[in-house]
This record gives sequence, C-alpha cells and structure tokens, in this order.
Amino acid sequence: MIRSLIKHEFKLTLTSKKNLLFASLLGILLIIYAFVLIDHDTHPESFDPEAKQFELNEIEAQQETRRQTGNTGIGGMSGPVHNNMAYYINTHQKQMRAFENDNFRRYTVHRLDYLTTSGRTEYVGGDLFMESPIPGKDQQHLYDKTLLRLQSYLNQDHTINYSMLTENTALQQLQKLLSNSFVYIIIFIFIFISSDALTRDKHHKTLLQGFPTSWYLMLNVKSFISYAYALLLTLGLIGLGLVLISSLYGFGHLDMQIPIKVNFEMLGIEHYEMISISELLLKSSILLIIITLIFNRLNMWLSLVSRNVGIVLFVSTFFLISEIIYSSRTTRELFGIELQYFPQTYFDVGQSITFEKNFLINVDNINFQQGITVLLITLFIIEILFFLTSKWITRQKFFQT
Amino acid sequence: MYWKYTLFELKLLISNKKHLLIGLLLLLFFPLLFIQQTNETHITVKEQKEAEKEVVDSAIYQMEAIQDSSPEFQAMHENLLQQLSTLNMQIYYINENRELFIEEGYRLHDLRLEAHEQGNTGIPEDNIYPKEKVESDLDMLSYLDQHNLPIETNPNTTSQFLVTSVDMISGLLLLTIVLISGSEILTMERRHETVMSGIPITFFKKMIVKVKIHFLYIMTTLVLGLCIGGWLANNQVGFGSFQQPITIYQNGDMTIVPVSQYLTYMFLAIIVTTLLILILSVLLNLLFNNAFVNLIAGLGIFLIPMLLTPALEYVPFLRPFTYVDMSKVLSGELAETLNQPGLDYGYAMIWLTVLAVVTLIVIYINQKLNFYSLKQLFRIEAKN
Repeated sequence: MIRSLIKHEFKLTLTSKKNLLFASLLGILLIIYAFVLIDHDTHPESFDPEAKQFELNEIEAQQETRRQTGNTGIGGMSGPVHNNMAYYINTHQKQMRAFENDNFRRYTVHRLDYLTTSGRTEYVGGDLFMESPIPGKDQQHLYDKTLLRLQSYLNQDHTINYSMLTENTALQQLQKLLSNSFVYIIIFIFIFISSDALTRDKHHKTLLQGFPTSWYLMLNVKSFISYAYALLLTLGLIGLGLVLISSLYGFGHLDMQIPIKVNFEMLGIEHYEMISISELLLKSSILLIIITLIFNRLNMWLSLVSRNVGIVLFVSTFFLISEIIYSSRTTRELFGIELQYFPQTYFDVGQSITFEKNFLINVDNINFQQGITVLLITLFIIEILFFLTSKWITRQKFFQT
Repeated sequence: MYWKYTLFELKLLISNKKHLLIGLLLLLFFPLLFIQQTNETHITVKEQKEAEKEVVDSAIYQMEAIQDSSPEFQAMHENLLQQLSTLNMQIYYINENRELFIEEGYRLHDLRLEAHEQGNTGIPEDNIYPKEKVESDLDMLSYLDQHNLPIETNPNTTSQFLVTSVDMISGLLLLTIVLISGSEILTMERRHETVMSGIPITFFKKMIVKVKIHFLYIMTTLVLGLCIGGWLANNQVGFGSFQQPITIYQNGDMTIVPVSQYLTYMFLAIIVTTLLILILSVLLNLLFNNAFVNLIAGLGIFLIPMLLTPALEYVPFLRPFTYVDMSKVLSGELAETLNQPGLDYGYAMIWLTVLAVVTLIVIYINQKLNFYSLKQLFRIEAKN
C-alpha cells in the first residue's frame, strides 16, 4: 500500500510543470554562470602578461633616467628606490617567462616571493574591500589567506595551473558557492520543491482522503518524496556544474588546502590553520542535510496550518533570508541573545565552518559543533510541533476547508 | 455590467490570501529596509575629500621622483600643489563654514580645468581627475550654492531614504512581486469556465479590468509602504530636503536633478514596469495556465538577460529586457556596461512601452487564433 503511495507521489512530483520549469531555469543559470560569468569575474591573483610588459617597460624607462641622473642610492624617505625597482622588474620578468612556458610551479615560487617581500601593497592599502567598514582588516585577511594558499600548492606534488591560482577550478568554485550567500539557492531548491507537496491535494480531495494509511505516515511519505526529489535535483545540478567547469577550467584536487583563521584576536599569518577541501565538503554537506530537513519539515507544518502555497513559500523564504535584515559587522547579539544560539547564523554553511563568520563579527564561538547542536535542536522542536499538529489537524479537518 | 464585473474581480482579489501576503510584504519591506540601512556605513564628504587628496598627494610624490625641469612640468607641479592646498582647506571648512567650502570648491574646479587645458603633462595616468567628473562636480557645487543647501546630508533622512527605497524595489524585486501577484490572473476563468464565459463582456474588457484591479492594489500598498518607511525615517532621523541634488545620466552626460524629480522618474518607471509585467502575466496565463510557470517563466525572461549583461554586446535583441532595472539606467551604469551611450531614461521608457504593446498584440493574435480555431480547420482539411 505504501509502495503505491510512494509511486503515485513520486510521479506527481516528477511530472509537475512547476518543478520541471524550476529545474530547467536553474540549469540555464548554471550554464550561463559556467560559460559567461566566471570568465568576466576578476580575481586579485589574475595575471595579464601584456599589461605587465607595458608596466615593466615604463618602469625600465624611469630606471634609465635614475641611472643617468645618478639617483641610484638610498633616499631619505623613499629608501633604495632604484634597487627595489630593479628587483621588481627582475621578479616579474621571471614570472612572465614562467607564465609563457606554462611552468606554473616556477611562477608561483616567484609570485609568492614577490608577495612576501614587497607585494603586500597589492592587497593592503589598495582599493580592495572599499565597501567594507573595516577595509584594512579584510585586506590583511585576504593577503594572509593568499600567501598560505599559494604556499600550500607548492607543498603538494600536484601540477599547478593558472585556474588553480585564480580559484576557477570546479572544486574551488564549489567551495566559493558554499562560502558565500549563494548557498541559500541550494536551500531554496528544497523549500520550493516541498512547498506544494501537501497543498496540491486540496483540489483532489477524494483521491487521498480514503487512503488506508495513517495521516501522519502519509504526511511523512509526502515529505520524504519531496526531499528525495530535491536532493536528486541538487546533486544533479552540482554534478552538471562540476562537469561543465571541469571541462573549461579543470577539476582541482580533493586535498587542496583552505586557510582558516583560528585566533580571532590577532591578525597575521601564524594564526591560521589549514583544512582540506574534502573536509569542508563533508562538513558542509552534513550541515546542509540538517538545514534542508528543517525546511522540509517546516514547510509540511506550515502547509498543515495554512493550507496555502503562497504563505508556505513566503514564511520559509523569510526565515531563510532573515539574517540579512539585522546582520552587520558590529551585530553580535539579537534581542540580547548571542548570535551563536540562532539557527539562521549557520545557514551560511561554509562561513561558519571556516570561522569566517567569527572573523567578520569578532567572536570565537560560531563553529561546526555548535552549529550541529543548534540545528539539531531546531529540527527536534519543529518535529515535535509537526507531530502534535498532525494529531490536531486531522485528515478530515484538512480536507474540509 | 462593467462596474459590477469590476466589483466582482475586486472581491476575488481580496478573498485570495496570497494578495494579503503581498500587501503585507510591501508594507513591511520599507520599515525593515530602514532598519537594515541604519546598520550600513556610508561614505561622508570628508572621507571623499580625503580620498581625492590622497590621489593628488601620490601624483605629486611620483612627479617629484622624475625631476623634470621643463616649464610645463613645473607649472603642472605648482598646479597640483595648489589643488592639494584647496583640498586641505575644504576638509577644514566642511563643518566650519559653508560659504568658504564652496568658494574653495570653485577654486579647485578652476585648477582642475586648467590642468586639463594644459594636457596634464607629467601626471601619472591613474591619478588624472576625469574631465566629465570635473564638470559634474561644478554642476553639483553650483546647485548647492544656488539653492542654499547644506554640504553634508544624512543618508537616512526621509528624502534620501525614499531614493534608496525606490532604487531597491525597482528591478528584480518588483518583478517578482508583480509576477506572484499576477500568477493566477486567469485561473478563475479556466476553473469555472461555464460561469465566466457567460458574462457578456469581451475578453479584452475583462483583461483591462483585471490588470487595473491588480495594478491599483499593488500601487496602493506600495505607496502606503513607502509612506510608513518615510514616516519612520522622519521620526528617527529627520525629514531632509526634496531639493537635494542627485546625478542622473541623460543625453550622453551626467546631469543634476533635484530628488523630487528623481523620485517622479522612478515612480513613472515603476508604474510602466508593473503594467508590463501584469500584461505579460495575462499572456503567460493564456499559454501555460499554471501559477508557478508564470512566476518562473516570467523571471527567466528578465533574469537571464540581466545575468548575461557583460556579454550583451553580441546579443543586442536581449538588451531591452535589462531596462526594467531603472535605477541602473538612471545612474548610467547600464549604458556603460552595455557600451550603449544613447541609453538614458527616455530611451528605456520607450522600449518598455514598446514591449508592453508587443505583448498586447501577441495576446490579441492569440485570441483571434483561438476564435477561428485553426487546429480544427486543419484537422477537417486533413480528413478530407
């Protein structure tokens, strides 16, 4: 009996116009992202040999004037300008040659050497993060992370390529998706698919009203089917994205290292630790599974109570994006309670695992374990609420209005 | 009959919970936006002047390293030193003396113009102050001077907050809200066909009534929401002035207009966009007859060209769909990214109207085809 219910529900979900269209829209957006948007994205590590050659020629001309006028010594305020510039030209010529020969290990060695000796100004003090209220701190953070990232490539034996340096390989793009607010799209897929799992039966009253299973079991089957469908869709989209981006920019390696800042009080390279990309993926999939379960059950509960797709979608989406309303770099409490106790803090999955959230708001208590605890408690509360409501709003009550 | 039908449609709209939610969303959006805006940091005039000063500073530093003794070079060096001095004086006068700040501003403009006339000899490429900006700065300064307005404005006063609000709501957000609102615009016709087709009103008149009712409902809640947001800003920060200047892109260059005119422009754009999306909803409902398809297909039509903006140079026929983001059209950002200098407010509005008219024509043709029922005609032909 249950098997035929599952079959019926799955067919309904699979052939639903709404789900098919949503999936194809996401597919189109993904293709646009892979083929157009990545290409137009600028990364601070991107390298343009022609522009660099032009710049080097200009500096070389200045060097010539310095030599002619005899200004090759140490200036009072500016230091050994001629010497510094000679180093600049030398290291960049090496980088350029390595770049042309596709020898990216050598390129990375010289790039890293330049960044540690005098290239800090490319990150710190420039116009990166100008929108942020604390640009200096963010610039230093990005600079430290870049140094550690490049060094970790050199420590490993994999071949280094240009798309690895500019974080364009498939795995790095997946990491980027998990580490910013675009991860909300993944959660929204689950909200959207499960939003009408129950309410679509409103117009087919006779079909399910006489079905000889308990009401709670039937609700669970519906919830399970919509969850499975959304999971398949998400995995399919991620798979498609990985294949597309891999074919354009390469796949990357599962043991690539990501720097995470463990000490929130101090800035500097020694306060970082490294985790591998596979660890990040594993931890974020655990968090994502719990979060999506929360939304799936929340949607079922809302459908039971309101019987209206619009309300379900609206309330769930509002809960999903509620952090945007109050979040700022100085908000550490909401209604006098610390942010670590709110489930929506952990919806930015990647940021809470890599302690990025701690860095942003200067706290040290948002982490993976705390996230699991808070999210599981939320899931438990919603589960109990759902069970009680299903006893209160019975099948007869639900289909009557 | 017409009036009775209008009342009937109004009742349908009010009895739908979805519209209640949209109304609530529009009412709540602006107060929440205000709370979010007060958490944001904004660049003050002082910070802006400090940034300008740093650019001049670095130019002087780099010029001194070159040590050229030609008279043009020396004149330019002297000019930059003067600019630095006026910028310092401006920073000093910001909160002290409005008249002197403006006077120094005029001097700065003259110096910058002079530098451009002499060809910016020796100034590094990155440190040249752009000529268009020199002119728009002068416009802004003389506007402030003539209308007796303060230099520094709080970005959260009612007038400035309304500008942020309309910028925020126009574009994708308005699109989504209107699409959700119009997603079931023809559902009643399909579900109770025998009753609805008996009403002695033509399809087009029915459509006009439906679009009118939806439009009026959205506009009323939107204006009410804006009023609540504005009232909150007035209570918390202050009223501000609707005479404040704001730069918009028009006829190929930047022009200064008062905030009131900007708001009028944006509001007209919101009206045209809402009408366009409602008419499009009617078409999508005719073709697919599904609330979710309406939302997703409608979003897809506008979202895909918007995402493709950096590559739209090669696909010109998709451009008009990006014009719904009117705040980007007014700021000139879209004209720059699309590399289309003629794209200003009037041009975009004409295109949006054209799109609406085209959609109407498609609906008309669709109705005519349904009336003659071509499918059936062909089937009979094939049988014979």
